[in-house]
Amino acid sequence: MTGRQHQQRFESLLHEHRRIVFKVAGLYSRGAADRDDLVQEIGAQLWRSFGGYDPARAKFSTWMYRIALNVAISQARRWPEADRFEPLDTHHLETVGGGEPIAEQDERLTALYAFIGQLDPLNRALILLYLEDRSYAEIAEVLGISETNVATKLGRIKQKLRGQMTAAQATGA
Amino acid sequence: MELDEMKQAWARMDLRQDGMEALLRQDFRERRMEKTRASMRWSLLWQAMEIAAWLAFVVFVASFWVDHRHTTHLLVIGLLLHAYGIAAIWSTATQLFLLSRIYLFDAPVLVLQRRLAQLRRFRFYSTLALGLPWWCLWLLATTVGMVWLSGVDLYAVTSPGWFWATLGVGVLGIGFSLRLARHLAGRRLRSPTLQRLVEDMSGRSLLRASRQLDEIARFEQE
Repeated sequence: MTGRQHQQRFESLLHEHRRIVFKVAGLYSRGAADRDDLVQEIGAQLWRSFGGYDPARAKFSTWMYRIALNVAISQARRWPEADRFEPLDTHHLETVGGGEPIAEQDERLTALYAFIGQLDPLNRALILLYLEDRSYAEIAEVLGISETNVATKLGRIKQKLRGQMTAAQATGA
Repeated sequence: MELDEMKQAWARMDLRQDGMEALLRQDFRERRMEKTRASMRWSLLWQAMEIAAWLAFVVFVASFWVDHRHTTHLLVIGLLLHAYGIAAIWSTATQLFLLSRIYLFDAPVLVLQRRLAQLRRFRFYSTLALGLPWWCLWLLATTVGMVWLSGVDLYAVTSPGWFWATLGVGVLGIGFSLRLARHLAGRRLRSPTLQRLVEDMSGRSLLRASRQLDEIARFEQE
């Protein structure tokens, strides 16, 4: 395969799976400018690593999740402790160019973002993969833990979320 | 509200991606992607060249102390620099090995984050162990250099008292550097290299790496 063909193959795969980059960048950034940097950083690392991608070892999406999450978590760890994770808010739903929030922002999404905002980087990765409807096997492969561990952790997260919602409803009532 | 309900909300959410899509393609359009690959190769090559330079240093210092084995202070100085050179080779080779394990960034998240934390921890120890001694080593290196270049033995032409006093000042310098690093820790410095040096010397980077390793271990065990 020539260099040009190699690049074309990469660009086509990247286009096909681009949502992975955008979702990861959206979840691990502190604002729109940060998210743009992260999108570019992930894109650059994907290209750097593409020569070593072996379809026999992993699906492209699995490989892409690993790289995108590794870049995002490493970048987040470089920030000072205090402003590492501001609560996720509407800016995470803004468009990059226009900056207008999505019009029909539903209550559940706001609650979801508020919940994710409390999680540490590794649990954020877990919840992202779950929300993206990845199988337990793929989540385990991306994160490097067992499927049983994935199930246990998700069970705990669900329990925690249920507890928070019940508390919020009780406070609201 | 259950997590499964949130999953449905998440599936409906669709970020407007035009701007991000353009960003993702921008580097290709501006042909920056090849540069990023080249810069990574250069950084690995640079480390390999560093090992070669330290090997040359060790060979030179070994020949120096063999030639001057009958002069006790030159023998000791040569042996100290020889040991330092070996430590520097070991440190650079270890960093190269640790870097090669994370180079592609495609290992499972927990594996890669653990390797990154191990690399940070190693860099912390290596910066301290190999950087601070230069407060004293400069004198030893200058002595060897002068004997080799002009045959002048600094230890003999000055006096042992001056020599030891200068080494003592070096030891004070080490203490001063550590205190200064603690003082500067937490501030944002303009130079990223200086920032990393301060974080290493103040122990902050070690603390961060240790916390990260704990966090990974907890995540695996919970």
